[in-house]
Order: sequence, then C-alpha cells, then structure tokens
Amino acid sequence: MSTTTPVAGVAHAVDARALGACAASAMAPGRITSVWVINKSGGLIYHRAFDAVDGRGETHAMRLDANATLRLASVWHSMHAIARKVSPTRGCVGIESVECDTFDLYCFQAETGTKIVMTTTKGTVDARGTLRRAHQAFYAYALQNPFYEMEMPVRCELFDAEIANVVRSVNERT
Amino acid sequence: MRRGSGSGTTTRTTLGKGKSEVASSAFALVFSELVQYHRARVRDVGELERALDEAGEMVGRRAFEAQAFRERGSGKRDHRLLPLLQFTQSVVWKNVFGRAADSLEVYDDDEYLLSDKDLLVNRFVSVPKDLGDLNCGSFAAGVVRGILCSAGFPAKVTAYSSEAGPGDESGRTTNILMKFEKEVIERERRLDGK
Repeated sequence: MSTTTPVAGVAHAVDARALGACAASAMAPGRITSVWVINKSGGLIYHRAFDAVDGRGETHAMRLDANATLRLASVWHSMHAIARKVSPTRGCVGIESVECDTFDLYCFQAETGTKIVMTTTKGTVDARGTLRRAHQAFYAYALQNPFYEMEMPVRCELFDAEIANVVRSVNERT
Repeated sequence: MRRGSGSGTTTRTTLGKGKSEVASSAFALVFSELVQYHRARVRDVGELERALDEAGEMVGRRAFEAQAFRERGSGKRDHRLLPLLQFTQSVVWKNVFGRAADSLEVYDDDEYLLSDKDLLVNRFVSVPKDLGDLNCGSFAAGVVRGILCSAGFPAKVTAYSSEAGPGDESGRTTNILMKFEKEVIERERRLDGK
C-alpha cells in the first residue's frame, strides 16, 4: 500500500486528468466534521461536531439538534447490525465506511460493541488510525475514570480534550 | 517453598527486586474500582478523600518498608528529614506511581511540597461538577503520610491540584503538602546542632 511503483503512478496521473477537478479534490486531506460514540445497545453516549475548513477555505459544519443525533445514532446501530447479519461471508465486522458525494463516514466497532463513528469531508484520511486513537481516548479517559458509568453519556473533560487533540491533528494537516 | 522449612532462611535471604512494571491501565482500572467502592460507602467528598487517604496510607507503609529493604539491603532507614523526602520523591514514587515526582520544595521550615505534573492516580480522572473539589491525589497524600509516619516523622498531609501556568502544556499538577509536627522540626534542629 505504501509503496507506489512508477507504473501505478503514471496510471494514477492519467486517471486524475480524466476525472478532472473531482479527483483533484479527492486527493486533498479530509477534515473531520463530527465524532460519535454509540454504546452496545445503540444509545448515543457522545457526540461532538467540528467546524472543518477545507483546502478552498470553505467551512463545513454539521447542524443537527440533539434528538436528531440520538435518532441517527440508533439508526446507524441497526444498519450496522443488519449489515453483519446479511453478509454472505463469515466474519463480517459490519459497515466500516460509507462514501457519499459530499462526505465520508467511518465506523469502528470495538470487541465490547462500542462503536466510534466519524464523518469527514471528502478527501484522504487515515480513518483506521484516527478511529483507533479516538477509541484509545475513550478507553483511557472514560472507562478508566472512576466517575464514568458504563454505557452512560460521557461527560469527562479529559476525554473531550483528547478528542479535540485527535481531531486537531487530522484537521490541521496540510 | 523453602520458606516453611524452619531453617531461618527467610530472614537471611535478601528481598527480591520485585516487579517494578505494571500496565498503567491495569493500575488505573483497579484504582477506579477503589474509588467507586468507597464512593458508594461515604456521604460526602471529605469522607471520600479520607477513605482514599487511609487506603493510601496502607500502601505507603508497605511500599516504604519494601523499598527500604530493597535499596539499602539491610533495611537501614533515614533518620533525617531531607534524605527521607528525596527517597520518597525518587525511589518510592517511581515504584508506586511509575515515575519520580517532579519537584520537592520547602516552605517555612515545617512545610514541604511534593508536586507531580502527571500523577498516575489523577491522569485519567475527570471529576464531575457535583463532587466539587474532590482530588483523587488524596490517595498519594495517604501514601506519603504512611511513609512519613512509619519512618517516625508524623505529619499532616493534604493533596490539592493546581492548573498549569500559561505556556505550560503539562496539564494539572498534583501537589502534596506536608506539614510536620513540632517535635519533628525540633529534632531536626537538634541534629543540625543548632
């Protein structure tokens, strides 16, 4: 994955010319617009939206009220579960990413059933690494915090700060 | 088990080096359970801090005993205040919390301040608003109290947090304030020959 042969590089350049601006913008770094944590029964326990400025200076922001986020989280939880059930092959872990015209969604489900979901603007993102770091933050600052109740909404300032750090490290890439 | 053989080897063999490394998450989870256990059994923040302090004292007494034997071989201990505090700051702290404490300062002769910028018991803890100024560092204060008391330096030990100053990104600092009893300070003066 990390090494590109010259031949592949040429092929890519041709592709990019053919697809024009669309492909060019897809090469720009993606920005995280929101982070969600969904517990094992489909309840939303953490949600935070971020204003993301893309390469062209446009601001992307997610505007959802609290009820909408709860509803969407539980819908996503069900979709994820259905995808696992209907998968024709064994060992399916559910939906890991959804690519849309205007944004991408990435999901990571831990062994415990807790899901970390993030949405990004179109572009390249190390989704696996970022979700992993977010999950580590959840483990460290929520689960190891004596005042956090399992499966309940996360209200820990250290977790907030760490998530902000993770998002900043992605959103401030050039 | 050679221990039970009755040949008296237990007192002659040196104490093993002990395992000095434990996963920080394992420690954090056990500590988290300790806090939750006590929280369900107390009425207010003060009581919770006292409970943590007492738990820490037991740890301090034992850790000090073990470390004194490991470091000095014969179990020789400091009878002067400053070496004892330095021993606490470096050796004991490193063995109990995984890193040496950042600084040790003196205030007004009988008050000493030990501070740690990233104390293990506070690293993962976010205190909710309804618990006000609860500081889980009370556990560390208890550890220090246990050490000082068992070494013969009775003191009142309290823990408080302070926010890092501007430009310092280390986060919250946990401070352990030790106020020694009069007799300790007088003894120190006597030993100084003043």
